[in-house]
Amino acid sequence: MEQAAGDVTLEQVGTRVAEYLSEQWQKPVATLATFRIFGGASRETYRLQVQVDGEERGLIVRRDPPTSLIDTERALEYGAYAAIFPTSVPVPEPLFLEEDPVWLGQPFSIMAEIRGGITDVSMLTPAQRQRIGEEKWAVLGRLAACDPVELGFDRITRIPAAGDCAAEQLAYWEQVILNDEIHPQPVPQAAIRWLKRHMPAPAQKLSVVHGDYRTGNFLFDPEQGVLGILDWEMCHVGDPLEDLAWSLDPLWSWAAPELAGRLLPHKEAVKIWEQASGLRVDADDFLWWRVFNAVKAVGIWISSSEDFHHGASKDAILAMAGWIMTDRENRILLDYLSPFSKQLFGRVS
Amino acid sequence: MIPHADEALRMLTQRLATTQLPDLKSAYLQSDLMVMTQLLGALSLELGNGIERRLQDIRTMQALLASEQGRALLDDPALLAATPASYSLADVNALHDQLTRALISVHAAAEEAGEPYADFGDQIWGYYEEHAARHALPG
Repeated sequence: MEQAAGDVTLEQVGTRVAEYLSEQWQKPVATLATFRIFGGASRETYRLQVQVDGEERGLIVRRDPPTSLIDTERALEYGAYAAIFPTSVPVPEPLFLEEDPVWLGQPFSIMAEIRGGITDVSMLTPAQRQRIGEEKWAVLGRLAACDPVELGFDRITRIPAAGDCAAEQLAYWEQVILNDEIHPQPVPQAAIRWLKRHMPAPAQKLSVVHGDYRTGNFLFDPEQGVLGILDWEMCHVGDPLEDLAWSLDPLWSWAAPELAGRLLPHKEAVKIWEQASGLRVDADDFLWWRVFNAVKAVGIWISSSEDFHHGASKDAILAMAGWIMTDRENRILLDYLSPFSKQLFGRVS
Repeated sequence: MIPHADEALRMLTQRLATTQLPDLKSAYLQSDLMVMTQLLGALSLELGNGIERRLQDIRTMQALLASEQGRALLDDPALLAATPASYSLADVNALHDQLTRALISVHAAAEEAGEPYADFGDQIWGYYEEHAARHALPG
């Protein structure tokens, strides 16, 4: 039988969530089907079909694992969904955040399923890629244009000064690497020194930063367009260039570096973002954020590797990230900074 | 003794991917096993060549640190002649890590020292490039 992670079976996830929802909605809820979704490295993710009031309803349950790729606060992630849901940035509707482990052995959240959405862009036609790509970066531009305080982010996270965004993020991820590295990391260390010597200008404005805005983290319909932005667990308030640079990281277009996120030429993505956000991209500052994001990525990947190697989790996706992604991200950093670089990735920005 | 352990692991991995994986009914388990077979494939390469690749790194790092500029910035000259306690992966890794930490420190010092050490800094970047190419994982 397929197992949920930890001490709860897949069947138990279905029955216990139905019991929980019955209590919350004060009406009978029956689970018709439960599936675990692969790849949710920060939370265990399940898709449930439930029946309530005679109608079928799709739900997504995100359960805290004993460990995860990203050490995050579930309340922040849920709060971000709740804050963003009323805006023009599409996200799944958040329904419940349950901190009490009595139900599933760990805290969890429940969101409405976005029906029909897919994340894989590999099968899109060129016209579909163009359309989804345009929308992807327009949505990110709209997010950048929002005022985080008006959205209520000051109630769920700290608001940094515009001049501190870069230094704070760099300090955080430098420490993650130092804490979690299994072997010393000479290329990321050289990159961190470069980043400290080339600090960017203060953020043009403070924005909500998704923190992991990339192909694979949004649902779309090839004809209807972008349906929902997912995985807000690394969101924070900061410099909007951080998100734009992350979305253009070569890791997301490894097989086709000329297309950002395997969708659009980089310059086109940047132009669409500028139009939607009303902000401009300074080339030097943007390079800083690109290099920073490669360092941040190394931090994420080696943390996952540390969890795997020290036994906190035996999830293969953590080892995959820790080995293969770290290897690729080191090559990306070399491409940005080495005097012998062929500028395979830097050239496309 | 297991003969050709790296090849054996590679073949077992292929077997998992071609005969076991397609029979799994759950999409979750299929994806999970697919990732595991990719990782096992990477491990089979590491098993075959990992120690030799680390020894090549060690030789290159020691040569860099033994140069005139390397010696001027190196805190622990004993590292220049150090050899692994054995050829086990753990012992080779231990010396590789020691030398890498020393190289990080020397590289940072070379950057601080500025122009006289610019070429030496480039040589270190050259090693990073060489290291990345030597250890690049497939896929």
